[in-house]
Amino acid sequence: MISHERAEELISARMDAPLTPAEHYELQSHLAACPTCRVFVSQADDIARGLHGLTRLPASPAVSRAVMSAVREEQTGWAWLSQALQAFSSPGLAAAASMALVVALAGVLYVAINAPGRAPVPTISQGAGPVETISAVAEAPLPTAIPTQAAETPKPEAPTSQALASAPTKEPQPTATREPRSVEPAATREPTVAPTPAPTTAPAVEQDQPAIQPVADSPVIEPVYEEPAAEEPTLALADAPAEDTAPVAIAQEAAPEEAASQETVDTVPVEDAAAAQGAEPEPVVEQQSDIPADTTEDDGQGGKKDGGSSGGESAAPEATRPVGPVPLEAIAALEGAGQAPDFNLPPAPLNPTLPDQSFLPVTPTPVTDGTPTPEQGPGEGTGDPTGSEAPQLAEEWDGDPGIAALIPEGTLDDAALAEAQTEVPEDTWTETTDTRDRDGKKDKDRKKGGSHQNQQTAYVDEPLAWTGLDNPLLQTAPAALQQEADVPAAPLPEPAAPIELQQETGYPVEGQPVSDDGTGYDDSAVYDDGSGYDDTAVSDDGAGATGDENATTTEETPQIDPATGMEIDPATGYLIDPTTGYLLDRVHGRVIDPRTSYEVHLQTGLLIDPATGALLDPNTLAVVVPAGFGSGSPAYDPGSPEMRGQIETVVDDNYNNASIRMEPATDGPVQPIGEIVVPTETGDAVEIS
Amino acid sequence: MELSIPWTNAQPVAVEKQLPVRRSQGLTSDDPDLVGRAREGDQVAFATLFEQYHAPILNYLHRMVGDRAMAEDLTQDTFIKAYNALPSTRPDLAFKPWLYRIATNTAISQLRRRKIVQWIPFLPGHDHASDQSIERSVGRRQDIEQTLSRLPQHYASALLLRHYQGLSLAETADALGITENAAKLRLFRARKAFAEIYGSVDALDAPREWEAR
Repeated sequence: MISHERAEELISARMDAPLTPAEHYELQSHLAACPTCRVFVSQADDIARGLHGLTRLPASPAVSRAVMSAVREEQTGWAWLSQALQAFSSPGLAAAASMALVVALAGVLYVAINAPGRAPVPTISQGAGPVETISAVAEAPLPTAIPTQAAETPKPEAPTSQALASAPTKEPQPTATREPRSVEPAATREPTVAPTPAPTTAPAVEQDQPAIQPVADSPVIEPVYEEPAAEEPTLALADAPAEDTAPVAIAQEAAPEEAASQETVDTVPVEDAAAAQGAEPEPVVEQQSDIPADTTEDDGQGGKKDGGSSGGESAAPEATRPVGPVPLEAIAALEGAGQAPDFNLPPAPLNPTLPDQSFLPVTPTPVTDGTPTPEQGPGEGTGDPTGSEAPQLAEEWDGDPGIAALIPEGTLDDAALAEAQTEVPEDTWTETTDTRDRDGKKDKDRKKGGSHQNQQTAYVDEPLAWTGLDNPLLQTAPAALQQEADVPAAPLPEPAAPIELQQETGYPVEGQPVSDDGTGYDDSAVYDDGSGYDDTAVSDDGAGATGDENATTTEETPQIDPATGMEIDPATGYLIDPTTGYLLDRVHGRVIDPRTSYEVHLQTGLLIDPATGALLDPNTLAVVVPAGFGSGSPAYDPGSPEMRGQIETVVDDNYNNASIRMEPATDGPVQPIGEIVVPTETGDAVEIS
Repeated sequence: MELSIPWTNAQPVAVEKQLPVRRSQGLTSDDPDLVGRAREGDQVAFATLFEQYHAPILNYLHRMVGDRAMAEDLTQDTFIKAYNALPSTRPDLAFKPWLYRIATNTAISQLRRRKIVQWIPFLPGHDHASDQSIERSVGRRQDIEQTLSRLPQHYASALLLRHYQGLSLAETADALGITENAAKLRLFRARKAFAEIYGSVDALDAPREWEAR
């Protein structure tokens, strides 16, 4: 049995994530016996509903305007610089950029030293393109031209028109990647992007490089990119020698901050450019790796590929190394940017909706009249999705011989219950003179105006009652019984004079068949054949021994135990407790209910179902769930709607291993075999004081 | 300077095209592509995200601070902070909880600046809620709001994120910057505190106490 605090934790936890079956079972068990926690269940649910139902404000236009204007100012201001700095904030990028810068400087020095008189390699359109582009960008009104261009270079989703117009020479890779996108996805998701960022630089480039634009627009680019050997774009093959395009590519892929050095790099000879190219892409890779998922990996791969290939393919690709070649892998990755697996989606919600709480008895659904539906299995019809989580109890109930044996139909319908109550009239229990709990219990029941007809009764034990201090069974007969129960086989003292004892007790003596063997009680045969009680009567299975039979018999010829002075049940040979009417099995130390042959729980006076171990009300055979069970709070409100539901319970003698399964009541008649509806409308539940 | 992005024209298109899909699919995660483009500085993408989270963040902050004007200011601050911080975020950023974390921190910071700390009454001997069901008075929205306002900020934020904003436990934990187990524990304590305050008529009727930290 879990503690109260643990139960509350589980109640809260179940609202955030599904409980494990073990936790679920623990919580159910606790809730079945803890009304306080059931209240907390209701409150927790109400909190969730109440908070969710709070009013919501519409979006504020003022906030929209303020945010947008602020963002625009950020974007048009020096935000690009901060972005660039942020981009280099990562160690990898910083290292790569530093290395690229060093390599570039080394290349410059090499050129300056080894080829002092050599004229710079004339730049063709492609080679000059970037320079012109950059210069044009520099002349652009917005200072963000350069960073914007640099930032957008790796963007695969940039509009086709923009790519074609902006950088025919500087960026074939966007062109190649946007070609397929412009067909399918770009047509749908990019229309809004079309007029976006890069346009600041695009018009300038467009004007500066009109001749290249048709080349970029031509679909010839695609097959060129599909050939592995021709990673260079068409532009490079058509117009530029490789040695010229390499620096261009470097210049284009370099960070904006390196724009100043690009012109210098542009003059690097082919051999030097190759070396420089091998190092240049590194910063490009790192820089692009800082770009979000869909574009980062694509461009990153391309960049890495570019840099790696320049080192590995230093001989052959040297001549064919074109303007900023984008490897096919990168292109393919760009094309499949939507499926790029590099982006880890946020963890899916465990359970956005509240877990199903139908198993919790928080819904005050009206209790049915208890009409049984034997064909309905446990959990069926109740909408309980958790029925499978604790099926063992339901399965145990299926073959319930205890309760079913009492009722021929095998069900606990109202008629059967009424019959059961009829079999043992309440007077049977109240005819005793002492005022005991059972009387008080009934008085309470009547006082509360509840009716037991057609309904079963939930008894609630006060925790103190578990101690048995106020239990009549422990105060009267069981005391003597327990003393002797330790020595079951020991014969009782022989009655000195049974007849005399009978006379003393006031019972009739004549005709009284006493054990004639002279031993009083013989374990093997209490009564011999000559005593007037045949073996058939003695060997009664007990289940059929009814109070009526006993009463009839005892009225005629009551036998008195000479040792205790109690009447002997002729059918079983047990002593009859004059207070409760229970049978006292001194041999085994048990107290037996003569009506059901169930053993009586000594501490509570309840009956123990031999099949399930459940404690049953001796009057109605309803399963008893003690209030405050497992907690120190015995508070119990008989009218609490939370007490409704179906209860499956297996309780051991010590209340230590109770497992109770409680399901909310439904509108329809739900009372599967083995499960007992415990109606707890006001007055229906009875407390054992 | 000229603005290269026509905000007013671009936003509706993007929102209309993406939000319905998002809603129909019941997605709670953000569009990676959208977040990625926003991280690049794409203002349209950011505008889309703003439109998507504008009202939720505003409402969340409203419940946090209890003042609409302040909530609007905090919303603005939240999104501006988010815009500025986006480029430095990791590619696998979970935008939604990240944004809520900014909002939460912004709200708490603002409340601290105002030196307002709400005091939660200690109710000894009231460990367990009374039998009075909250459900009976769940319609009393004001009581809920009042109870919420009396919760400690970290409890209120947890409850609001989980139940008011509908974040999952993982998202709530991420938004609060704590582990899921810690979020569970915080939610449990928040619920208990909420139930206690709500169930206590005296606490609701008592004058609101403020104290400077």
